[in-house]
Order: sequence, then structure tokens, then C-alpha cells
Amino acid sequence: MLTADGLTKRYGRFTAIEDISFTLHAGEVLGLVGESGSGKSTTVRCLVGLTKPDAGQVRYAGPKFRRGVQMVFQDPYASLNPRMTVAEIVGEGLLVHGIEKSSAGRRSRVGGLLEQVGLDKSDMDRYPRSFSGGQRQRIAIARAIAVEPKVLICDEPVSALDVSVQAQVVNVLRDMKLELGLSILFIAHDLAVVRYLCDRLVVLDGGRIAETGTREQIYANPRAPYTKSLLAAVPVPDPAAERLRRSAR
Amino acid sequence: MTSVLRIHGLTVDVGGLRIVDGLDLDLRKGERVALVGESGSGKSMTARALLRLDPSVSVGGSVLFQGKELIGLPEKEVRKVRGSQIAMVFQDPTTALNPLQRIGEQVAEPLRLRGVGRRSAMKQAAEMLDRLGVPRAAERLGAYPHEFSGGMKQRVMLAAALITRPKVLIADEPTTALDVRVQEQVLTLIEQLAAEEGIAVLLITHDLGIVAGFADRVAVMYAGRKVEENSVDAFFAGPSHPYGKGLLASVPRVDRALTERLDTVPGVPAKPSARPAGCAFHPRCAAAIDRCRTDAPVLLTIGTGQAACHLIEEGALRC
Repeated sequence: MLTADGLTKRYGRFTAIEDISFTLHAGEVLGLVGESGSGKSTTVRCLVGLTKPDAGQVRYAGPKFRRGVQMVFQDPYASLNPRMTVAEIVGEGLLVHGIEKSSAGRRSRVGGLLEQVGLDKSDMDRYPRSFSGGQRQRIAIARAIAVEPKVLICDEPVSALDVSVQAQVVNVLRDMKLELGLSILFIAHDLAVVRYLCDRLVVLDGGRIAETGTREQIYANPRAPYTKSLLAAVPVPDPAAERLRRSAR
Repeated sequence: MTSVLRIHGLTVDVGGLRIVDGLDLDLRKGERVALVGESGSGKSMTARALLRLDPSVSVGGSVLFQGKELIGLPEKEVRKVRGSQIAMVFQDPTTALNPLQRIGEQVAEPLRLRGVGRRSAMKQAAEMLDRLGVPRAAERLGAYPHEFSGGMKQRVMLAAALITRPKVLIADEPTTALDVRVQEQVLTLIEQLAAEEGIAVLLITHDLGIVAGFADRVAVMYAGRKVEENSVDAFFAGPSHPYGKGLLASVPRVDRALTERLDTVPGVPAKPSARPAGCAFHPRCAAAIDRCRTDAPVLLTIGTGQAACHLIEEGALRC
């Protein structure tokens, strides 16, 4: 659906990303993982056209990029306009892309979308301020899927959420993939969350691809030393296992 | 073992809202205790209240530091304890450090304020930075914070906090902003230094993964109250409170077989401004009974720990 082909971006003498190539296939969730400074954000900015790469190109196989590729951002407190109601936020794309011109029709579509992401229809006349972080992130997902995109790019969508709520949003994304056949590019640094959602992974290290592989291969048998050390550092909620791991260092 | 910090019935009110409602917590010498909770649970306000960092906040109850009551103490007296006896590190080392002041001066400042000469204070700063794994520490005293990475800045923060040899270190989400590999290094450093110096650590966090590897004991807060406390081994073997159970179950883990869906705790965390009656967790609790909606449960002793839940009392919940 979406292909990055040899993406390179330099800022002065600093190379942010170099020769990044991968393909997001139809109906899959692809995880783009790495530490801060690994080039995740620059890659995403190049993919959606917010940054012009110095070399390489982005290819999108579907119709109408601006409608077909939607984003969910990290900070649900910054990504929703505080002066718009939920109905306006979620319905805006329907209006802009001429999908649903009647206001009553839009309201009914918005109601359905809210229920799809586990919110209540009656929430649509409220403003973002009356929602918690997890609920806002679901509103952002409803807004993104409203225009029936082919590709959803999620940039650290659960990093700012509480644990109990993070799980709710991860499940919603999983449902969207299964119900709508969406292709999802999931950018994250938390390898435990990525494992639940992603079919394949691209691991970035210092602006280059360290390793690409299926979920099963990467978690059971990581090849790159960088991937190994990332996986080894993921904390597990098990005191005995943690003690063992630390004494092994 | 003697308590260095004994918190009893701590209350914190902000603008007429009760954010922390009667918290009891004991910190023994050299012990590492984790205070766990989600946003709005009151965990960070607890930490700030212990050090009286917010003058507009009204703090009640009792906080005994080595037998000395801190609540009601005049600001001048609090200052003798804050920083030097009870130190604190925060989540974001970038905003916590002064960008215009050299690293060495910031680390040495707590000593300088106590009258230590510049030369000696700088020497100790270099030693402390070295112990915390800052390479070429002595040469880098003149560097500014922007020359350091996030992990290195957090080491600088720790050096400034620990240079006065405090008895208690309060660490509020100290590694949340760091990458996992750096997080592990920083936690290991805190652990080593605390063990060597006999410092008690209160770790404030929402991340159960790091609690398991770091703490001896864990207390769980929900909507301003402690709902559960236990040794880490007992807690992670099986929490007593339905909230603790739900929280642990919703952590995605790499050490378990993949399931179809992640377990979740339904609903959203209670806000202090709209605290549900009875047990604040009851709207999210699948097993809630009538009593949960009206009566606030008290902490009961269960095995090696405590939990506040009517269901446990009624024998309706397996622990």
C-alpha cells in the first residue's frame, strides 16, 4: 500500500535517516520501532510529505493520498481542536472530502464511528476537554477512519496513556485492522505493545534499518545485536525474572 | 528495621479538592518502595507534598522524618530537610536543569548552600558524577546541560540529589522520558548507590515492569487513596485488589504467550473532582456489590500486605 524507497534526509552534516526502504502491505500492521534519535519521526514526516527527503521516494498504491492515508498522533491533548465538538472533529473529513454532505447524515455516521471505537453516540456534542486521554485517542481514531482510509499511520498513539487505558486503545486498533482491513503503520518504542499489534517490524538504529522481520522471527530470534539489546532491556512485571536478568549483566 | 519516613493519614487539598485522602506509608532505612498509580491517582502530589514543594497546596496528617514531624514545620525548617536530607529527582531532566548554568555548579549547589567551599564542592561533584557513570566527569564540570543526552542529564540530576548524602530519595518517574536501555542503566545506578549509602528510595511510577525489577515493596494508589500494599513478590504473584489485578493484567508483556486481545480495565480512571461514592473503583469493577457503591472500604491485613476491598472482606474474591 505504502512504500518507502531509499529515503534519506540530512540536516546540514547530520544524517537523520539514510536509505530507508520498506513496504506496508495491504491489511497488515507494520511496526516501526527504535529509540529516540533512531529516525522514526523523520521517516514518518517524509512518508506523509511534511518533510521533503534528499533522496528516495514514497509510493502509495491507493487512490487520493490525502483521504487514503490518515494519521493518529501521540498527544491526544494537542491533536484535537478544543473549540470543536466531537461531532465536528470526527465529521470534518466527511464534509471536506464530500463523503456526506447533509448535516443529519454526518451526525448519524459520526454516531456509528464513535460506537465502533467504543465510545457513546451521546458523546458527540461534547468538547474534547471533557474526555480523558484514552477517550481522546479513540476520538482521534474515529476521525481517522471516518474517511475510509486505506492506510493508518499511528505515531506513538499509546505512549501518553495510562496502562489500563493503553490496553483499550491497542484493542481498538486491532479491531479496526480486522474489521476494516486497514493497513497500519505503527510507530512505537515500546516493544511489548508492538508485539501485540504488529505482523512485521522494521527496527531503526541511528537512522538506518537494523533489521526487518516478522513478529515471530524478531521476538524469538532477533538477528541484529541492536534488536537483541533492545529486547533484553524490556522490563517484565515479574520480580524473579527481573532479578535473574539483572544478575546476568 | 527503623522507619526513616513514616507517613500517616496524609491529606493533600488543592483548590478545595482532596487529591490525597489519608495515605499511610512507611519507608525503612535502605528500603525501595514503589508508589504506583495512574494519572490523577495522587502519587505525584504525595511526593511533592512530602517536600512541601507547592506553597498553595494544603497538606494535613503526619510525616515523620527520623522521628521529626515535618507537617506544620515553618518553611525555614523545611528547607533544612528538603534537598539535603530528603532529595528528589523528577521525570524530565531537561526542564529540571538550568540550561544557563554549568553542570558542575548545579551538582555542587546543594553543598555550596550548606557552606562547603567551592573547590571542595566541585571535587565532590566530580566524584559523584563519576560514580553515576558520567564519562570524564572532572573534565565535564564546565559543560552545559544541552551538551548531554537525556540519560546523562538524569545522571546529573541524580548526582545533585545525592551529593548531600540524603537519607531518602524521592524519584518521580525518573526514567519515563528515557529509552529502555538507558532506563535500565539509570535504575541500576540508583539501586547501587542507595544500597551503598543506605538511602531509602520512594519510586513514583505508573510502570509495573520497572517496579518488579527495582522495588522491595509496592503500594498502589487509586483516586487519592492507597488500595493495596505488599512485597513485590507477593504483589506480582497475584494482587489482592481488583484494581491491582486489572492493572497487572493490562500490562503487555514479552515474557508471555500472545493472547488475542489485551486484558483491559473498563472505563476511565476516577478524577478527584468526580470521585465516585463508596469505593472509588466500583464503576470499573466487574465484581462490585451494593456495599461498594455506598461504603468506602478500609485497608485490611491480608497475608504479608494490605488491601481495601469489601469483596475480600465478604470472601467474594479469591486472593
